[in-house]
Amino acid sequence: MSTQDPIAAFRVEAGDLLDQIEQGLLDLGHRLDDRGLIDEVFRGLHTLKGSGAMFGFNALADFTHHCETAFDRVRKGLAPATQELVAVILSARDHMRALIEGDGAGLESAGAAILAQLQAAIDGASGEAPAAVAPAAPKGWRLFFRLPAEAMANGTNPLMLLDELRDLGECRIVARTDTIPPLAELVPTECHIGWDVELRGDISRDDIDDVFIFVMDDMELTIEPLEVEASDAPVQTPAEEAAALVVDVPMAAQDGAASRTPAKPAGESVRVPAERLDELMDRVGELVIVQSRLSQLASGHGSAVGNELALRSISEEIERLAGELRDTMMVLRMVPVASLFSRFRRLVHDLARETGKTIELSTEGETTEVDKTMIERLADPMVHLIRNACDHGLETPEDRLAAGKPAAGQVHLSAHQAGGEVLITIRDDGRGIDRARVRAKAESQGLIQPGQSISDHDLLQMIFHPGFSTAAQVTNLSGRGVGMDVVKRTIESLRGAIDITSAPGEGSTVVLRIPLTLAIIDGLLVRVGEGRYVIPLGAVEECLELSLEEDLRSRGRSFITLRDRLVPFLRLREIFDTGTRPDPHQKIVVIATGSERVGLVVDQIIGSHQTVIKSMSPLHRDVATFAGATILGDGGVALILDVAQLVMLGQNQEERLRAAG
Amino acid sequence: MRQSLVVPNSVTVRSARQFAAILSAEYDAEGDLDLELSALNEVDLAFIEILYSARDQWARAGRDLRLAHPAGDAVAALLERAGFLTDITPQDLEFWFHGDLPQ
Repeated sequence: MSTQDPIAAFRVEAGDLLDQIEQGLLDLGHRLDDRGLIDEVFRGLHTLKGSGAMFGFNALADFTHHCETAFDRVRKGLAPATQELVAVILSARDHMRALIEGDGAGLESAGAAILAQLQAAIDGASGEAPAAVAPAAPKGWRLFFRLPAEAMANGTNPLMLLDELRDLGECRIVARTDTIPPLAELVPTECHIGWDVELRGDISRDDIDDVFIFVMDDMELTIEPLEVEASDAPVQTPAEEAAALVVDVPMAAQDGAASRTPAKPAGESVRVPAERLDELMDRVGELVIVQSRLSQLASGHGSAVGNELALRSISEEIERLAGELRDTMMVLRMVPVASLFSRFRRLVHDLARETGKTIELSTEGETTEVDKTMIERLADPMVHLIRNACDHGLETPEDRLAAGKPAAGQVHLSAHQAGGEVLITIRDDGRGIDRARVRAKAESQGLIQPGQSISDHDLLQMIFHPGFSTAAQVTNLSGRGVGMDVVKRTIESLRGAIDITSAPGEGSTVVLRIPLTLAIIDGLLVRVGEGRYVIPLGAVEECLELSLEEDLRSRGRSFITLRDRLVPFLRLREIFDTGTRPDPHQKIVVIATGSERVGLVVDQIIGSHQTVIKSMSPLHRDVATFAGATILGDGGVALILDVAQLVMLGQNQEERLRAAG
Repeated sequence: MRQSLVVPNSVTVRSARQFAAILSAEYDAEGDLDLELSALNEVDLAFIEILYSARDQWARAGRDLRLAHPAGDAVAALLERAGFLTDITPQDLEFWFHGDLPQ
């Protein structure tokens, strides 16, 4: 087992905590009085502060402590949660991430500015808060708790919790032994003792919750007020409360509580459900059995016929197992698309604030699973698309109302699997793409001739040209003409495709079609000259024979007529300059991306091939026609054709020929 | 027949399984049992829980489990800190301290 760098493990752990805090804050933005969310955010800040101090991230612990102190006032009902406060704590959360990722150097002034904003937001909110919101202090509390059975084995010391309760005020603790089982049934490392506790004094419910903060989720805990004091009980002023809070020191740092949270592997990691690993283990177990059968056969002295039959059976078994292992292994890398979608809630929240628009984000199909690498690489293109939808697509509330739409604009993200692909849709209900403006821009950039007839689909595709922007105003969000071409290139580099539809006044829909995995594809193995190549099977539409006569007849005009449509074709033999004579029975493999089609002339179609994709060497990475390479069963290497590039090549050829008349 | 068992110097959650196994073996050996705690100086709640559990098992069988001498300082402090001495029952007082709370 590899030893793990605790700092790296902390960074991963803290990253998860920050994500939780962010999601909690975004939810809170919609339900400002949700007590559960306020507690959740507070717990996140508290844990982060404690763990940060423990791992030596003092700047983080200090900064988070101030945020926690401020947020604690919300938790205690001394200040209401407001949109302003949520926004400031979101920016504080970003600052915390910067403190975690770096050493905190040079971030002091940014941190101080955020804390000043936070103070202002809290003060502003407190001013609005009615004095009556301060809860009446109970005289004390009666509680019963029993820890999770495995608490002691996991390092929780119940005595420390009892000591912390004693520190809160006058305390009477009675141990309860009634649920301890007899020796024959006892698991000696489990804790079955319960405790009745009476706490007296000016103790808030939150103070008690803080004691159990790290075990709260799984424990048994009931808390009742002993008796409520008369209404003229002195209520702590916010100033006093704040003064009391600043002496609070990171709790986890004191008692090592943060160390009880399980460390996660550092760096690139995927969480895998245990049952998937069990499945993998089953397959490996079967493989070991088959391997032992094979060894037995190799060392045995059976008859030749019998051995051949046994060998064939083993071969079939291995083929089945390899397929199942492949499928099981692929699934291990799959993560729900929810992890991608959740990132955009913050983006939309910030965009709404920046643009002054009301934007509602809805999602669907979050459980759809995609390869982890794919999720990472989809994030940037999707940010561009969502920015565009929010900035250009959605109208201002006034314009929407004038157009008879609800003031709040909708952005909808959905994902669903269709065969070997996942379709990710980004839909908005904004103004739609202004075709006249796209045409004008395309004409001014010389992409089309003035007045040239062009299909609606092709017109919309113009927005993917480099430097193309129809935004009247360049904002800091979008409109610089940088982005959509990068989006298209990124999606195509993932062997995916991007489709766009738009209805004036009703909104636009962008559909990203991406393969489930980047590691293994079903391919069509073909031969061109002496070389063998793989064409991704998902892109193959059909295969036709190109007779020698047709080949000669079509020379100089590489088109075939396919169902009344001219389809350009490329002679791979010529592109790859094989220097060989064409096979007398050449084939055309028709490939497509979206609605664009192109035929590839090959010498021979060898058959389908499970292709494990290996990336090209650094020397060959710039060769655009190939997406990678694979190793064949005989040890030879086959290059994998880049379908998007070849289709583009075919389309360029078509345009050249059209232009030539 | 009355048996005697010397409890090792440390019984904590880390050694709880071994200690419970030793007690179970004593239970299987029939008879009453005296526990000698004089060597015990490192102890946590796992020990207390095992003894409550064992007392229950012995009592159900109509047999007697007791401490050879009143519990020493380490055990007394643990019982106090964990709230076992607040509202202590006469049975518990008898078991742990042979009737007299330590001063």
